[in-house]
Amino acid sequence: MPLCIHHHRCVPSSANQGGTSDGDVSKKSELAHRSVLHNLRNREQLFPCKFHHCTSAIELDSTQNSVHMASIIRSKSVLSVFFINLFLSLVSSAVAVSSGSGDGFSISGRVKLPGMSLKAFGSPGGKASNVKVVLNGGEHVTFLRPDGYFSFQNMSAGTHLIEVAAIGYFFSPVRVDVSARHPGKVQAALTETRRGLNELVLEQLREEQYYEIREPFSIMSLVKSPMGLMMGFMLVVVFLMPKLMENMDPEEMRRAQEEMRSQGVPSLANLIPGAGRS
Amino acid sequence: MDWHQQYIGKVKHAVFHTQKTGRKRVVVSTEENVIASLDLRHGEIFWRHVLGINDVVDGIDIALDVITLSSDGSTLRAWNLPDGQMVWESFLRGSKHSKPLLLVPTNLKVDKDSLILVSSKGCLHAVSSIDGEILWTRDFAAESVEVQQVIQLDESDQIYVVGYAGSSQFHAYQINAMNGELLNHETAAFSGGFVGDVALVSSDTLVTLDTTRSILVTVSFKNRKIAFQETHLSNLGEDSSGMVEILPSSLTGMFTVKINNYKLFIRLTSEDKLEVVHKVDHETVVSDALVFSEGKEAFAVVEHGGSKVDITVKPGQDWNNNLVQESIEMDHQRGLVHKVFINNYLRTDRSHGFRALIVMEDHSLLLVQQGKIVWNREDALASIIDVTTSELPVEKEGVSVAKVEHSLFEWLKGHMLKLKGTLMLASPEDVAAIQAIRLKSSEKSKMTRDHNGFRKLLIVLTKARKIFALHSGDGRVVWSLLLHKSEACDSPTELNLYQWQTPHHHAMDENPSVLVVGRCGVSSKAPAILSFVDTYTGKELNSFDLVHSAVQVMPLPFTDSTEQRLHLLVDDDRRIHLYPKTSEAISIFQQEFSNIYWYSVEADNGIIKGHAVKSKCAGEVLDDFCFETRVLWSIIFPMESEKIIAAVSRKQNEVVHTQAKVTSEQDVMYKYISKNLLFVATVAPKASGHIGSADPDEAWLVVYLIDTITGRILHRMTHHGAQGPVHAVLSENWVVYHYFNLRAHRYEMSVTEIYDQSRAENKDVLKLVLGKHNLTAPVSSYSRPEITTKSQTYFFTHSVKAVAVTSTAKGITSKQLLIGTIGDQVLALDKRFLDPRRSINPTQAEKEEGIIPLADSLPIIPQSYVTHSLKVEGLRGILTVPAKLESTTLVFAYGVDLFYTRLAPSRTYDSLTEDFSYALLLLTIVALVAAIFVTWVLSEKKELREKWR
Repeated sequence: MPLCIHHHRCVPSSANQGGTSDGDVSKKSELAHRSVLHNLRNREQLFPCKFHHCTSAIELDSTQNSVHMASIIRSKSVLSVFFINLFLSLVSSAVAVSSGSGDGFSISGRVKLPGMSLKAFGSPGGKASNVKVVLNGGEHVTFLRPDGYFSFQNMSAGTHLIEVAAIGYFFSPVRVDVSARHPGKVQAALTETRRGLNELVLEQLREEQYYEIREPFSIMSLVKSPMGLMMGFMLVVVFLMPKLMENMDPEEMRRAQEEMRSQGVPSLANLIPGAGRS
Repeated sequence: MDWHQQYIGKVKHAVFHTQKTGRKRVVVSTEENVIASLDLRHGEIFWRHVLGINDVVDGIDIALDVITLSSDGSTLRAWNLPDGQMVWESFLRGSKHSKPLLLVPTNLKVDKDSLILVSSKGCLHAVSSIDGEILWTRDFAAESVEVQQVIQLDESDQIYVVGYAGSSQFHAYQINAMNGELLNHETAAFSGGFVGDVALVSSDTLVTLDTTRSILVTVSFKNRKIAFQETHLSNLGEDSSGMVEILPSSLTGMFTVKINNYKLFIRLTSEDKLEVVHKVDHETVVSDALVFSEGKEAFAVVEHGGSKVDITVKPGQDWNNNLVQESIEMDHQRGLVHKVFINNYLRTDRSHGFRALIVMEDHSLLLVQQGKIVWNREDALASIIDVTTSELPVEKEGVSVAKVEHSLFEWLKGHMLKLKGTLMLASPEDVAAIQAIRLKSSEKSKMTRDHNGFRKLLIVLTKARKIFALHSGDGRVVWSLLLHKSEACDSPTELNLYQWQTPHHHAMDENPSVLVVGRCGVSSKAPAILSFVDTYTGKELNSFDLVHSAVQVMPLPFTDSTEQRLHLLVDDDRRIHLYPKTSEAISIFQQEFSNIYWYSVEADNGIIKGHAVKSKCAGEVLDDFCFETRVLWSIIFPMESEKIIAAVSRKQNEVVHTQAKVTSEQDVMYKYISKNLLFVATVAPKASGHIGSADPDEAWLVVYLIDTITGRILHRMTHHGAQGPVHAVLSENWVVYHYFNLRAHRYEMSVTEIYDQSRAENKDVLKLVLGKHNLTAPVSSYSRPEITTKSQTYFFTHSVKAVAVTSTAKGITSKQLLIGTIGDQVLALDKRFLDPRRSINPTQAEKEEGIIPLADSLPIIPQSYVTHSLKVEGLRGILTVPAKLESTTLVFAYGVDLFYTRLAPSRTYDSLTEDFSYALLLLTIVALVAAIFVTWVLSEKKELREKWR
């Protein structure tokens, strides 16, 4: 049983986890409350620290509690209570609640899709029913509730990988550390950007366009195509060249022709039979 | 060009939803862990979810939403009926394994909330159907009671929970379903003990078997008293020797017992006596009881009779009366009926009609109504085991007269139809016929070979033992064949497909055929079964039940005069058997006797062995086609530190265009190209589980490149802090593999390229001129060339399900890796991104060569997903086949869905693209011709004017 005593450092206590006797409870909860106060006083000293307290004396509505934590807990042991999560969530950077009961831990989180808040179910991507959340490359697969929440149960302590498969969006896989030594402490970070997450709220990094946009038909693209260029050149030759020739001084032209003849340059005109006649 | 088909797999459970007005649907769960809502009118999928591999569906029902129980009774989910959105998810905990049971009581409702009862893992849970909250839980495992049945008492909020403690103590609990309060608990011991399933005959009586499986025990727990009654099967006039089994059913007052290969319907009479009502063979299938108007019950019995299937709907308890009797013609390729589900509907004359959903042996799903098959789905295609391709027939030029006459008539008929179509006189059938004709003659779906090699047959083998030939043009099923089941083998399983005969040069008249290798039973020592299937006609040419097993099948690179490929089958005694069993084959084989080597990977023992042929088998029976083998080499991995998790070799039919690679410095590097390369990946045994189960310090991944002829380890590399799963692909002189890096906690992909150093000396021109080079020396495993390897590693974002590489006809086109991601998409990644010569600042020359600056991770460009916005749900494999056109490769990705496309990794440089504008080309030509004429006329005129001047 870890206890936050000073400076929010989680210290593993010698008492074992499950076997807390009833007599112990009041003392421990007192300690806990004190540490909460401490927490609130020293907010600048942020340190990931989460309380997990197994007691049979206090019963809180765990669902209500976890809504504040942006996660939903479904645990067999209703008795395990996270009674200071609410306060701690203000200061801690831990992200999801996990329960340290005999069946392992649970990770809860939420996937935010752009279309979901607007209930725009028309777009294929924004539909929560097409989204899968995959743990550890396929060990478990779960789906999203209408509000985007998901959870994994029975997880072992260690480092896990959560991936979101949603057509139309690119999600970074999330590294989730479930601490065995400090039950209840969970840290998450996006593996792509190495950014830590305060809450396990997964958002897409970018939208994905699977189709290249076909260039709209334009007269410019026609002109720019090789055939268009060919036609353009031809038109230039046909219609502009005679004009250019006309503008030339006939005297100059004759001189130029004579020059060429004298130099003996085999002109194209000489090569073509019949063309040289004129 | 592309096609995508969606399937669901073999249906396990089905629940109809037809009461409300609106869309009629059936919700099914399948053996591929799919939950789907199907349109009852057409069989199309409204919505579908593919659960995780371990998330096997145990039960399905409808209570407001679709409720599914999965993962051995630990996950309960509710899905919105219209659109399939998950509404809630509940995790049920328990300490012990027990039979998962899901019960949605009919009239236990508080306001709108109905109760869901789940018995799993030794506990009984009551769950609210609105939000999935667990209302109450009762632990039976604490009393070591294994729950067998949860029974709702008619019209009350009380339930019975019955179960065994040990094998002989019977417990019956009466519980208030609303709050879980225990009302009554009775227990009684039965000396005979219980075994197997229980059949519920009424709400307070059930029938089970005693441990000898020869006595039927009727247990009644009426009026807070438990009474046992024993009935010997022999007293019912039945021979009880052999396998006796009670089949789970929900018929009132009746149950089914399976003895050897027949089934008995036994009725519980009003005096609590058992009597046999009917005896049928084991192929007969009975549906669950259906309650229709005013508590009347009905059930369906499906029997086989020749090519027909008889469906009889009988009212509950009355065997001799029939409500509906229908007989439908059934394609024998569908095999036997495996399951039947019935549903009723009101006819227009207010009488009751019944429809039946039938699951066949070949996994297909049929809806039968009024003696007709309304729709059918070929859901075997959701469970493909192996794929190969076959060429289509060549277009015949010379056609016989009879054929001409026939085709003339067809031709006339076709034109009549088309004429009708254009004159708007066609009936709907005609329109369909016109479309069929159009489809047949359309370029992409013709049944003949094309010049570019785009049209092919995809031959797929499925878990249902059915082989399908899919046309690559549009994905339609050309033929399908349910493999023949011989008497000798009860539960055959199919394994692999091989190309047996692919005629091309001589023997053109022969049809190509494929070899299907299966085995009789599950264990690898089970005797093998061979089947030969003609790929044009889809007929099974031949089939053999072999006496030996087939642990490994090796196609040899030799064919006989009829183009039959020689195959070697390795049995579990390490003897090899040659097929086909002809003298010609043996003579070919004897010539190559000393050149035949192979390897075997024993992943469990951590041993890789190389083998060669030794001599003919020495046995009592002289078998010319059997050979003894010897072990040439073996590599033994230390069991405590290395566990083999992947072994990948090169595709045998891969073509490499050039051995040399010219670098930017005008230097030549020679690829080490050997067909006998094997890539092996081992991990630390501690880190062989899932991600998160091991620390980086105790995890490592070691990769090897092994020459399979000599056993020489060409390359060995350790990745510390890495673990599997490893997906690898080996091609040309490189291997690319995908694994997980625990330190960075990201996936990585590494590339290793091998170069031959011994040939690197051939740069001297003088040497080349004088012929003192070794370039023409064959690549052989006998020589031990100096090799160098280059490696590089990159991060890759996604988990990977499958990796493949594009293959083209001549191997000139650059390669792309095809990566099946966890999101069931297929990503095409240029091999250029996985080039060990990438550096952070490539020189100008290197840039010109096409080397990309080094980045720490591989880019994922959404446009390079070959599946675009489609998903190949449950992706398992990717097959690439070269087309005849060098630039193009054909890609077939399969899982629960099928996807086919054509890829051109370096763009279509040898053909015009599909969006090439022929109109523009024509326009240009016309314009040019017109311009020539205009200019000609103009010049003539001008010349005339000049002359007049």
